[in-house]
Amino acid sequence: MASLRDLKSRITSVKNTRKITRAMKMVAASKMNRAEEAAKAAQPYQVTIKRALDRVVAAEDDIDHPLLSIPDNNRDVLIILLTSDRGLCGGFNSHIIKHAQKTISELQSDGKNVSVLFFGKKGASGLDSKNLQVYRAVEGNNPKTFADSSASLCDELVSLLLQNKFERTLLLFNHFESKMIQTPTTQQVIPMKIEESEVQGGDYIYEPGGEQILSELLPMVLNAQLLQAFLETEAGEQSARMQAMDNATRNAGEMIDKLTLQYNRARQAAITKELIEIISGAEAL
Amino acid sequence: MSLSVKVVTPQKIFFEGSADMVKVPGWQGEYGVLPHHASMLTLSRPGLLSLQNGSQTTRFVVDRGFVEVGPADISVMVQRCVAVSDINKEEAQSMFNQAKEEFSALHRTDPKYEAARKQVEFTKILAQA
Repeated sequence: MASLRDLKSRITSVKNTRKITRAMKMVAASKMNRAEEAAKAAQPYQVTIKRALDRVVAAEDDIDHPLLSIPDNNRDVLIILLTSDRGLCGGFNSHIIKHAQKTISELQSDGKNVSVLFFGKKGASGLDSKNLQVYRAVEGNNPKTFADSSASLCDELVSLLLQNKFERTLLLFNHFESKMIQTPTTQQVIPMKIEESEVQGGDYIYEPGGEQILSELLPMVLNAQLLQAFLETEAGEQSARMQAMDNATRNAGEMIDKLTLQYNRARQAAITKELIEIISGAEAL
Repeated sequence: MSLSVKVVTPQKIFFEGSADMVKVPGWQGEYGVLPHHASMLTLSRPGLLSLQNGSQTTRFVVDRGFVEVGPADISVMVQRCVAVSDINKEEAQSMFNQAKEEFSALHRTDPKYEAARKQVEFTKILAQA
């Protein structure tokens, strides 16, 4: 049986761990609230820009833009994988990595040549990169740099498209459905898909022409999509971390209870033993 | 009757309010919008967006974007927006100088060329506002 001192030091160390996990949980909770608010605040832009796009598309009969058409290249596919930089956030990264692995194998069995652009350390280290090209790995993307990095990524994707480098560009990220649920999602960003919509384009004046508006508008839509994915990844990471740390805190609490019980029993046993020794000693006299 | 005005950036709704008249830096020059304007969708250039309420004028520096005009409302969707009253003159000037420097170091074929040019365009207006 473990000695009293051993038990005591174990209890202290688990208590310290609980302190850390509890602090991490609180930090994650406040970051999550901020991230969720940012994701919500970004919604109006998405909605209005999407509506404007639908309107232009509805008004133009003949749409022709590089971002909408399928390029001649039919071999290379670019995957943008969004993960977090740090761990300790439950299954957040492993889910999306598993999803990415599956997507990549499917593409490869179709004979595609897959390159991956990583955002977040965990993606680059977690994905089995034997058979794929790493296009680039970006670290340290945080809420302060989201706007800049989505804008520059957007410019880069457009120029890659014009150079005919990739057939398709897919964006893989954890879609933030709620605090409890994040679903790994694949979104095709290039060529863009335009859904049929009810919006009428009829009575509007377009200045300059519809085509030129489209060529400005499409990169903006792309940019908004990327930004949204960044924001959702951030919110998802924080909420996953909050849950993981909540569980850890609870487990530590249970462990402390169990160890304390053991400690008290051991202490009681030691006292009883000592008493017996004293009494039997006295009787012998 | 006044126009309800919304200025939206990718991050958030930057401004929501009303105005008697709005001046927009349009693609083909500045134009003013009064209530009952025909519905219109236009691109806008980096420039000054001003809202007039009686004799009061509120001005914003906006980056490129586009503007949707309806009979009673106007939505301005821009990449970036700064209220003129919030601009720090010195900071804006140094941002402009820095942008110019970075831009002049780049070659035309550099992938960052376009982004740098846009940055110069925007910071110039910031510095001069």
